Amino acid sequence: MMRWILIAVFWVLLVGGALVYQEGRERSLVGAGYVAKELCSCVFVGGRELASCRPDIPPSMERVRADLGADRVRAYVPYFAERIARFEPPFGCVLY
Amino acid sequence: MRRRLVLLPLALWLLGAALLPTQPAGVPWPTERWAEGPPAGEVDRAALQAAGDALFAPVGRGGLPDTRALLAVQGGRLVWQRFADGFGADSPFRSWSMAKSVTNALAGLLVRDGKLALDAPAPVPRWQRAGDPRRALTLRHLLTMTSGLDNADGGDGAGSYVARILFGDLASDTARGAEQAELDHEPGTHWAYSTATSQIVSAIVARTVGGGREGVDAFVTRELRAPLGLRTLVLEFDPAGTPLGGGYVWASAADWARLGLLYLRDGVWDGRRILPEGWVDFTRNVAPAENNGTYGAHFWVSAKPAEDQFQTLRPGIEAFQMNGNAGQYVVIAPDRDLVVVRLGEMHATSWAQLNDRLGAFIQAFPQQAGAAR
Repeated sequence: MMRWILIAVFWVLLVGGALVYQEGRERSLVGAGYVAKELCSCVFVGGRELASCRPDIPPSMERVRADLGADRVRAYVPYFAERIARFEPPFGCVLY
Repeated sequence: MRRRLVLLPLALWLLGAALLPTQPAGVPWPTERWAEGPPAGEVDRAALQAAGDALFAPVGRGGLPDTRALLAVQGGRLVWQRFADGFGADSPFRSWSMAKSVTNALAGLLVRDGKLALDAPAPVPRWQRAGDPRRALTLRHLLTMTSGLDNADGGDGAGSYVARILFGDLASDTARGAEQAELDHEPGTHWAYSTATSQIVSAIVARTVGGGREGVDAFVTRELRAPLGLRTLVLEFDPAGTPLGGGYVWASAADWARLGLLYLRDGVWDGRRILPEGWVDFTRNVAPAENNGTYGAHFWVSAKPAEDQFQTLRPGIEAFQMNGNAGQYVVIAPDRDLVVVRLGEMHATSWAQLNDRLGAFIQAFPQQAGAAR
């Protein structure tokens, strides 16, 4: 009996964990996309410093990290999502 | 379509809307540079200064004022401008949804040239299969946000249509993502604000112009940047080459004011008709729909909002405007011969505060007998 209970708990945890991960991944993809696009455009089109742009990102996206490259911004949530926005003048920043 | 555009000024006059004022004699068009001067007429200068100060007072994250740029053009002259530290006359500012109004201009240019028509079926290839009810949709439905498509901006943040279109799973090809929406209302009857719909219009513009993003950018240069002197205007694109006409255009405060002046002057610039006759009246006329009180055609109108609609400015101001997230405003007030541009953020400012303070700033300028009927 106990064995069947443990198997059921295992499957519940597995499926629940997968659903939670999927939900978190989808939200992280949007969040990383937002941060990559906003920061890329702010820096390369708006002509501002990254440190000036970052406070304009809503606090709800604080966990999204961002790296500034020569022509791009990489934004990511570790283990969940990564997005890149690339400056392609004269067309602004393109989110990939 | 032409008859409807021509009849609109008469309808607006009957409804009491101010006529669009022409550029005063002796005031040069700001294609190269703005004619500058102090506010003219019975301007309440103390109220103007106080309202300007109040707009710059809230300081948000990063230690910057929420208002980054505030500019007023009265009678075609630049009469007031102020920038937050670190920003200036050449600083480009992002539009958020004011991009929709630029999309209105691009569609208008193509209607002027006879390449698009307001009341013809919207040229969206995916909708042209026999039996597809979206074949009934027109450019007018799309521009007035009365398409009836199930693609409104609201809803859960990350899962909302607008988030998915601009940043999520639909961002790689915004047109494809937006065009997949199905009808959930009869076209022309129900209003729903939708960035996805603006992406559908943007894709129609891009396909009609042709040549990919290079073709669109060259078209914008030829038809808008060059004649108006818009030296800082940048349209951003998705990876598939569709302009992000629902949310991402950049321009300096002065260039946003030039775009506002184009609409204040009924689509005419320095003797040349840029937008077709009647287009601006179509744009600033509240679109008929059961739940719409404040939306024209990719522009907002200062009027009584329907339930759940955005209050764009405090009552008592007759204007139509470009509006964007975080408090972007290009207000066009014909009865004051006025364009006011406010750009920035809303970290420490509510919409009610911003509307009230911006309203006070606008109302410091007098209504002009020559501009209103």
